[in-house]
Amino acid sequence: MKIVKIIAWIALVAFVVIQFFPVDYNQSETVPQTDFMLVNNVPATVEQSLQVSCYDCHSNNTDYPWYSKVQPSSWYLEHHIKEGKAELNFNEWGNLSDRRKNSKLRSIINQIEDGEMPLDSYTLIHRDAIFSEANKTAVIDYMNKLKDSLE
Amino acid sequence: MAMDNSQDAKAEAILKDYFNLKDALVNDDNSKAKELGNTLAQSLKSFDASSYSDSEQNELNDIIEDATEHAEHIGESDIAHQREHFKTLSKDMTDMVAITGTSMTIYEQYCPMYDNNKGGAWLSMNEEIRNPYFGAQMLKCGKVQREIN
Repeated sequence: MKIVKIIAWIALVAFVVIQFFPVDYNQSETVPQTDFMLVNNVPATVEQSLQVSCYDCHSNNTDYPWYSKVQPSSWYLEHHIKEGKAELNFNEWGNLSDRRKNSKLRSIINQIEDGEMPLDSYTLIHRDAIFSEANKTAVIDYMNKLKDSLE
Repeated sequence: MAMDNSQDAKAEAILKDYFNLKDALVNDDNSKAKELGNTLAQSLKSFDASSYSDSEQNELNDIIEDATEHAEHIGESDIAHQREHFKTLSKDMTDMVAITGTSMTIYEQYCPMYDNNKGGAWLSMNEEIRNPYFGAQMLKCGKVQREIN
C-alpha cells in the first residue's frame, strides 16, 4: 500500500505545481473592423448563434468558464482555442481573399451540416452552444447565400 | 508568364502530385488519396512565388495557401470529403496554371452531375474521361471543357 501512497503524493504535488504554469488567455476588449459581423450583413438570429456556438474558439475573445483557471484544463482549452483560431478566426474575416472565404464557408457549412461543429467536447459543458434545428438551418442557409454571392 | 525553369519545375511537381491524387480518387482509393494529399501539401509548401510579378505573387500565394489547406484535409478525410475538397482544389490548380503556365498538355474536364448537379471540374493529362468525383460508379461521366496548351 505504501507505493500507492507515494504515487498519490506525487500526483498531488504535480497538480499543485502545474497550477503555477502561465497560460496564454485568449481575450480582447476590441472587435476589429474585419470581424465577420461587421463585414457582412448578418441577421440577428444567425449572429447570436455564431457568437454562442463558435466565437469562443474562433475569435480573439473567449468567454472563459470557471475551470479554465484550473490546470490542466487551462492547457486543454488553450490548445483547442489555438487550433480553432488557426483554422478560422471570425474576427479576421475581412482579411481573407474571396478564394479563402469561399473555402472557409464551404468548411463551415459542411462541418455544421455533419454535426462535427461545435465539438462534442465543447457542447458537453456548453449546452447552449448546441444548434437547434431551426438555428442550424438558418446558419447554413445564410452561409450558403454568402458563398453564392462570392462565386 | 514567367519562364524561369526552376520555378516551372515546382509548379509542374505540384501538378503531377495533383494528377496522382486525381487518379487515386478515380480508383475510389481513400487511403492512397490520403497519402497523395499529404504529398501534394508538401509540394505546395515548397512553392516559391518570388520570381513572379507582385500582383502574380499575391494571387499565387493566395492560391497556394488555399490549395495547401485542401490538400491537408484530403490527407485526413473519408472519400466523400476528399472529393469535396478536390473540387475546390481543382479550381486552385486551374488558376495556378493560368499564371505559371505548363509544358504539359492538360485537359479541363467537367461532370455536370457532381455536387447535387452543381457540377465539378478537374484537370487531367488524358483526353479520355475518368471521373474522380464518382469513380467506378460513373467512371465516364463528363466531357472535355477545354485544352490548356
